[in-house]
Amino acid sequence: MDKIIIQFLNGLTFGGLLFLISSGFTLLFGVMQVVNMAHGMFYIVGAYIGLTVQKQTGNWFLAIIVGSITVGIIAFLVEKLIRFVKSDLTQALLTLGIAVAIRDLCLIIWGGLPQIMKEPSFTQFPIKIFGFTYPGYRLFVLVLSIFIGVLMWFLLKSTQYGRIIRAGTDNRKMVSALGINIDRTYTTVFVIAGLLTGLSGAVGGTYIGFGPGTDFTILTYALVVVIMGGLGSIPGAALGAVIVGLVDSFGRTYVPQLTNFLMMGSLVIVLLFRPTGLLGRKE
Amino acid sequence: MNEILSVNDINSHYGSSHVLQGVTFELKDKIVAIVGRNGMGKSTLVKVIMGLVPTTSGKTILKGIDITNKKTYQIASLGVGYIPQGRELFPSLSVNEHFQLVTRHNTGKAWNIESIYNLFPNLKKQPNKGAAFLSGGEQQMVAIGRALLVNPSLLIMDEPSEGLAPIMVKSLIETCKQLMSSGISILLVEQNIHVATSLAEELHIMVSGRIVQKVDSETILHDISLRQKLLGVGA
Repeated sequence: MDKIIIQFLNGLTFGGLLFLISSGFTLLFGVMQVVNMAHGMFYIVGAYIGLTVQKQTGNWFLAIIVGSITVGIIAFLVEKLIRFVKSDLTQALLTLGIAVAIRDLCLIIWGGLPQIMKEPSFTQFPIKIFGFTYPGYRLFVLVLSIFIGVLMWFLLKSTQYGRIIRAGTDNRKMVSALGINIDRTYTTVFVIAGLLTGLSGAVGGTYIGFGPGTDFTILTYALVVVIMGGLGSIPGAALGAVIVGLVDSFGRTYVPQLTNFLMMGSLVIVLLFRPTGLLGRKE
Repeated sequence: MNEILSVNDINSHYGSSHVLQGVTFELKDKIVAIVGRNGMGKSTLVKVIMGLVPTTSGKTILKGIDITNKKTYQIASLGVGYIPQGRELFPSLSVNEHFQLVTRHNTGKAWNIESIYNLFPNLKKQPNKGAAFLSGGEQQMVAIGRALLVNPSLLIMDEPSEGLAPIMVKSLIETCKQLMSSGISILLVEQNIHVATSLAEELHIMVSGRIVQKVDSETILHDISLRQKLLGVGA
């Protein structure tokens, strides 16, 4: 029973991280119909920059902030580049190309060995739950992702910016027809996605090792979460993240060789019943 | 040269399909009503004016400004309210959020959220209702309110009576008359002859991507064979 609770918590906390990773991706797709194949790269750059800053300064908070901002800047530049291409396929290829280029740059700078950041001291005490101890940092990740989720919910529900994003996800052209320059919004959305994903990279890179292949793994997880939850839906990303987190956690514990199969299998089952994802809009 | 809108020899293509073949007309004062069968290019014409579909050749002039190659949001900002065919409300937004979306910096102008609710008191009862749950008539009210909040001098309405119950159509006609007398010009595209003739004294007939002739509303109302010839059976 203890083992099950621990795995449940592992799944939940991993789900929290997955939500952080995936919400940027679903925002980009929902609002702009951009499939950002550089998403995994955003994650590892956040992690690598975080690693270096932490090594240089010993300050974990500074590390995640600098990691986040760096990816925000990269996202800004990627958005400018994307404007030059028109079709969806070319966009996906362009972002994929940028991802590969920057991943190789990371390989040159940081080498090919797996890396991991150090947990900050304030989380380095285990928490007592249900009579046993659980790593404090993982709970911190869960709390952080809930906090950011609530922040995003507030942004979408109560601000003009959020209204533009929601309406733009429904019908971009109609938003323009109301006199709103939605292109300007796109740049901001891209930067927010970059900041979020860079942050998730530094936060995730603190308890999960990362290396040059991690960007592909992260992109895969993000795609599964977002497709399962419904492209463009933030609550969908949350739901998808929790499901994938739990499936992954229990899978790795009880049938580790089937983990990927279980994850993809869950996605297939969801799509069979809800082709646009659990909370996706019906086309 | 005091026209609100002047459309000159507009051509437009969907791929190799030549949809608009030299459309020309002027909106000088209150209203221009364009009628025609399905597939004649009426909606495309409206989309071209709004910049949603590219113009291959020709010019569109709005209050003296050439808007032919302007972006959609720029055209709307010049004072054009757009009510598309099918209303195209945002399912993710509530009634009130539709209005908040457009209004943000329009305080002190003629149309604000309060004046929209005064125009359509029925909407005041459920301002937080999601747009997807509204009736056809309510959707039309939100679509009109949304367009009015850009404080337009020109309102473009594409098949506004489509899908509306007869009593709502009557309401729609009344609203349009009210708006026209408040100084807003209307470009109306309709298949419903009754609506078109109630609002405009003459109709512009569109056939195969061109405005082919103008017909007096009284005449076409009483001449069934003319109606059928220009607008198809059952018009």
